[in-house]
Amino acid sequence: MRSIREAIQQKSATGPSMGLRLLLYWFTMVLLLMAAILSTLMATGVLSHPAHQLSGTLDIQQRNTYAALDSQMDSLTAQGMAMSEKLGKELDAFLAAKGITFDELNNDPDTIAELEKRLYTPLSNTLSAASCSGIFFGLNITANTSLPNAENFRAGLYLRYSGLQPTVASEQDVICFRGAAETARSLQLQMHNRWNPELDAALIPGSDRVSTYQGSRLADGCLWTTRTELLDTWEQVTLLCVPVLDGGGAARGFCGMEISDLYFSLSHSTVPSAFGNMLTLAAPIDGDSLVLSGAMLGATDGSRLTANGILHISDGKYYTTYSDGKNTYLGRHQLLDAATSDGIPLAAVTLVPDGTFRSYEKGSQIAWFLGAVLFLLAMLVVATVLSRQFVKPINKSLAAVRGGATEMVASGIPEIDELLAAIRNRPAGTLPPDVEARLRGFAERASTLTGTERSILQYYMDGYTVKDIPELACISASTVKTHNRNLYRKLDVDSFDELKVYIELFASCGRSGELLSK
Amino acid sequence: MKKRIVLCLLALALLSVMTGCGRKKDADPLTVTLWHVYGGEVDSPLNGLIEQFNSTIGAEQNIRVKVELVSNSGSIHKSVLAAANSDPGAPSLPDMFVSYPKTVLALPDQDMIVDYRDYFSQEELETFIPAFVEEGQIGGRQAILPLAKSTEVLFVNRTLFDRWAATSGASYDDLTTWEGIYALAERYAADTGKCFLVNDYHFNYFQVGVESLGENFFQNDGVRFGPAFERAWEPYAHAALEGGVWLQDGYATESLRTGDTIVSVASSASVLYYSDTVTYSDNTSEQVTIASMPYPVFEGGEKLVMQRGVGMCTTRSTPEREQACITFLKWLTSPQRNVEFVTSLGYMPVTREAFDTYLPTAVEQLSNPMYISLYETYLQMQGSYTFYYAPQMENYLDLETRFENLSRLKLMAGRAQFQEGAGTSEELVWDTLDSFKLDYGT
Repeated sequence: MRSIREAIQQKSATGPSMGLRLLLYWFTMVLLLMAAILSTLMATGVLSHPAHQLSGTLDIQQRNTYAALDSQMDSLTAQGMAMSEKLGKELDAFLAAKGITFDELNNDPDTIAELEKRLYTPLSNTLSAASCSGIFFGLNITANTSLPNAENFRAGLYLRYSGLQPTVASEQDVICFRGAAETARSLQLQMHNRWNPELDAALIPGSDRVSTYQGSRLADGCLWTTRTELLDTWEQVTLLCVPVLDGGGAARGFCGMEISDLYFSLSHSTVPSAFGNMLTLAAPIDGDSLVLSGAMLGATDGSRLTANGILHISDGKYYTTYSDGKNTYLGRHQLLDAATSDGIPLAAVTLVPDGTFRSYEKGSQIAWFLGAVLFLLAMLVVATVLSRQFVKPINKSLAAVRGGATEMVASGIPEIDELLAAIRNRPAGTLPPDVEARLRGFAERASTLTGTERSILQYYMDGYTVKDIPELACISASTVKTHNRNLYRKLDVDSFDELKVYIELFASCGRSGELLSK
Repeated sequence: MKKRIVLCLLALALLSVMTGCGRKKDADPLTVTLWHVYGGEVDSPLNGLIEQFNSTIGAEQNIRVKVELVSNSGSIHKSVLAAANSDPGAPSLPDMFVSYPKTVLALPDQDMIVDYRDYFSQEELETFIPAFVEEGQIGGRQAILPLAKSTEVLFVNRTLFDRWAATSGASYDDLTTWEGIYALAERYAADTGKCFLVNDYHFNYFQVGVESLGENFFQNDGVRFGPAFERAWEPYAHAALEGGVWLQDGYATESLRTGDTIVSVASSASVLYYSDTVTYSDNTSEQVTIASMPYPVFEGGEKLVMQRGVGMCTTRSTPEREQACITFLKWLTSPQRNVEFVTSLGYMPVTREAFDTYLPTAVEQLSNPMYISLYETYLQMQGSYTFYYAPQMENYLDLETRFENLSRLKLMAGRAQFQEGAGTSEELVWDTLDSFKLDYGT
């Protein structure tokens, strides 16, 4: 009995069927293929981490941002210095022609207006060529020295584009924001609704330093003001101030250009990217804070960025994080080479809203997850179909053998066909000796069965199960149980499964008849 | 088994859809652009309201309204047409822009803009004052939505007027009729050598004046120079030739700001641009009081005044963008908000409820004397004037622009001739008119 049990265990230990094994094989192959593809994608950077991708994109955009801002500020400074030199020369020529000193212009509105008209041409020409929203000069003279705060007044001209719009500069109307009314009218310049005849130096941060500049190199005297409100208007501006020197090198005032918030915003569009719109800023960096309230913001479409408050800066492996606790941005910054009125350096900044990047990251993860799941499901189906196709002829061939077909049904697989042919051609009665002995012993024990027990055995040999017997033999289930108990005892088997193994062994050897012979 | 697979796939699809929705709300607000006229070069109260919208309703619904241009209606008209015609160097059309009917009529394709009836129910449109809504109906479509309306009034620098009146005997009653104003203008010019009056819209003066005298101003596609036109021309040209009327280009605010004129006829909305300071050429300044008075009329003429004020057009785009614009516009025209908006700019509200319920209270709370005076004038005119709005003519803008330029130029030339002694003012009045009619055409 022990050997029979071992045989049964051996059968159980034979493991999964060939079809299942093939399925696993194919699936493993698919997984290996997937791993290879993923490794290749990772190695080539196609499938890199979103943060890593963002880092690369920010690097490229930051280079563009820095180059654009550096170039704009550099060009304006160069044009401002050239304009300053022209204004200085014109001033000298005017004073010489009038035969007066510079200080004698004070309290002489008519001559000041005349001077303004003369200096309008270099101002207007520079405005046409420069990338700015306004242009100005203020000289250290005033039409009325007796007025309170007269020391802050600077006679001069301040021209601005009116109704600035996203179109070419040549189509913009120029208006007179500061300058004598007589000057504006004779030049047919529309006057700003908040016009005043003179500039107030107190409202232009750093202008006092520039207008009293002692050096000889204009480049050293140039300053960018902090972002400041244009008096009585809704606009914020950043101004470049350049000293105006006369022929003797004495500072006579200042001139420069204006970049309004609107102009900057129109000049620097957002750059679309997979991580959201990338924004351009020129912002003061004070320690680890980005001062938004002093920043010029490019277009901010797709973000909630406004020029208020500060953003705390914290460096990271892939990007720098800028946050005010409520809104967070990811990006890069780089200090610009520009002197500022308050000494706080300006930086070129590229930002991406954190929210849009996180959405991209999440979307990417979900896409990969869904893709992987769908791919695996598809591959599972393919593997199942392939395995079935492979096993189908083998099963057919085996079924034919089991059914006792006289002709061998070829499986199409040479090794299997050879094995089946070998089994088929083996002489009868060549079972292993121990198995032969067990079969013989079983047959002998079967001969001891009663007629009813033999009938029940016959049902089992015909493929019926225990629950079919009561109906077939017209006996009760409890009687069947009794017969089964006797059957098992006489045949020395412990279970129905064991009995079925014997039945199958006899059937496969074509010796089923021995079980019923008496 | 199949059921389980289907359920799994559905669960995955649901997961992806849900995460997609979340992404849209958390970040990436839908930004819609706007070109408007409410503020121009000075502080713009609308921009403040837009910030309020962006931080409240806009934040909730992930909408951001971005002001791309604040200018005057003429400049916006030009930019809109350039954009609509894709002219070289032209910007893209914004999602919303302010417009008079003349701009919409000049568009190459009327379907470029939204018909508000697609987004506003009949009941919602009926909450607006009918005349304001009707003005925005073009080609059977509600192309323009009224936001704020204005009219024309007379502004007077009371400080300088009173000073001169003390010696000349001039009276505010003289400022109620055109005849009275021109008579004062001539006297003022004779006394001070300065202009008395500046009129921002000569075309409107003639248009409303002629209509108020019972004649049609327009004839076919041009202007009809009938007896009423001559009656309007005669005192105006006479005063101009005598030096009492400011003829230079630019807005009325300029010459009042420098004390070169003391009375102006302008849009009521220009109150935002008037300053209570006059600055003279020697850089000295003087605090003044600017007050409003009803639009002058001709003696015996009807009390007629131009209804002004652009409305808002929304550009056709995607349903999401259009809906975002409508959300903003409904917010801005809700009665209480509308009153807050218009009273900060010197306009009239556009809904009945705003007018009847909220405006009186808002006016009581005003503190700026210029605005108080303006709203008193509004209420005075509301009861006694008929509001006139310009007909929808495709060449309206062309007629208006040419009229403005040519009438000023002819009178400036006439003034120079008068100063040179080339003729009397009585003679030159008709010479200039003949010259004007010849060049302008009919």
